[in-house]
Amino acid sequence: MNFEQLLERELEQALPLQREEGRDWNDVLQRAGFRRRPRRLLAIAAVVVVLGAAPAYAVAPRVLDAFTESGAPEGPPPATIQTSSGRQTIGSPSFSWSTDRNDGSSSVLSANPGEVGCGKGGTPTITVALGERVGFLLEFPPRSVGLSFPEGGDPSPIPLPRQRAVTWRVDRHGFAVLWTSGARGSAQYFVCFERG
Amino acid sequence: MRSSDDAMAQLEELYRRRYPHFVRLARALIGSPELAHDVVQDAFAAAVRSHDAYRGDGPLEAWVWRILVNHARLRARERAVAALHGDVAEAPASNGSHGGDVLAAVAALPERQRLAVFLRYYADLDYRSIAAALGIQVGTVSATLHAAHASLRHALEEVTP
Repeated sequence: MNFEQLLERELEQALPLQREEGRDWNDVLQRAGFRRRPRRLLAIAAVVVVLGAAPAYAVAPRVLDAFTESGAPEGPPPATIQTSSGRQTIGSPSFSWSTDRNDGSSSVLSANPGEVGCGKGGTPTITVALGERVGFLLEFPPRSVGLSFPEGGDPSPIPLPRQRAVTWRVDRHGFAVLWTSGARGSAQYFVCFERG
Repeated sequence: MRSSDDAMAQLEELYRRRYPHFVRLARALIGSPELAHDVVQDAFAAAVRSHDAYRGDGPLEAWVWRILVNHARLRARERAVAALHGDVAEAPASNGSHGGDVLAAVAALPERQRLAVFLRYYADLDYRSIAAALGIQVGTVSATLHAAHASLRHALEEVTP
């Protein structure tokens, strides 16, 4: 056995492939804001799931089907964008968020934004100049924050500091997604940065 | 020319066929099985949202691996910061066997070498796909893996009685 084969065997033993882990393509579509299977989503929408100690990803959440500009009552709080011209509050139309219930359990709610993008679906537009520094203010302690421009060919998020208040120097315009995650789940905020 | 529906169908097929591999790579990079699933979901959501922007000038799978690696790096970085502040408990990615030594040795490699090793052995990608996923030349992949193998051979010889 040569070294590469030995390495392959050792790595396989260290982290074996788990073939029965839970795939959930509908969850992918929801996170992306697509509604490919409305009938199935409607069925899921009728279900409120009580979590108990189960992790949020293991259960089908209740699904909203609206662009929640003002923030859903049980969803993540809105974020604020600060620019040189003022502040604007934006809701998260795409999220999977858990809420504590009175009996000590939790329910999970997910939202599906439908069509989003610059000029679409109520996506807020922010006018900024290249080089301007904008601030994102979150109302929950984030575990991760990233900003992506999905229409540019590479949707990978630009890592931002894991803080409630982060800044980003504008280096491009267009449709942007602020990816966030916190103790209660994940939330994406959509905004269109328009040339000033 | 690839149609939008074609790309979506291919993304779904790739997700269903290779999901365990995506989760394993994310877990190797992040160290958390729970976050690994979340990262894979987010990475595919990003790919779905941007599938119109996929130009079809390289393997779709490599494009998705690149998105996944970047999402996982983001989460790993945030998790490392959280660990510094005591917000999360660092869980070992290994099962505690001798394999833990090799994972520790891989974890000590420079980032590009570490990514190349994981993409080679956990994603089963060829050199061309690794190059596309990491945005480097195929020759650089070869040199990177050669350097990684040399470092790992040395490190594992030290821990093996």
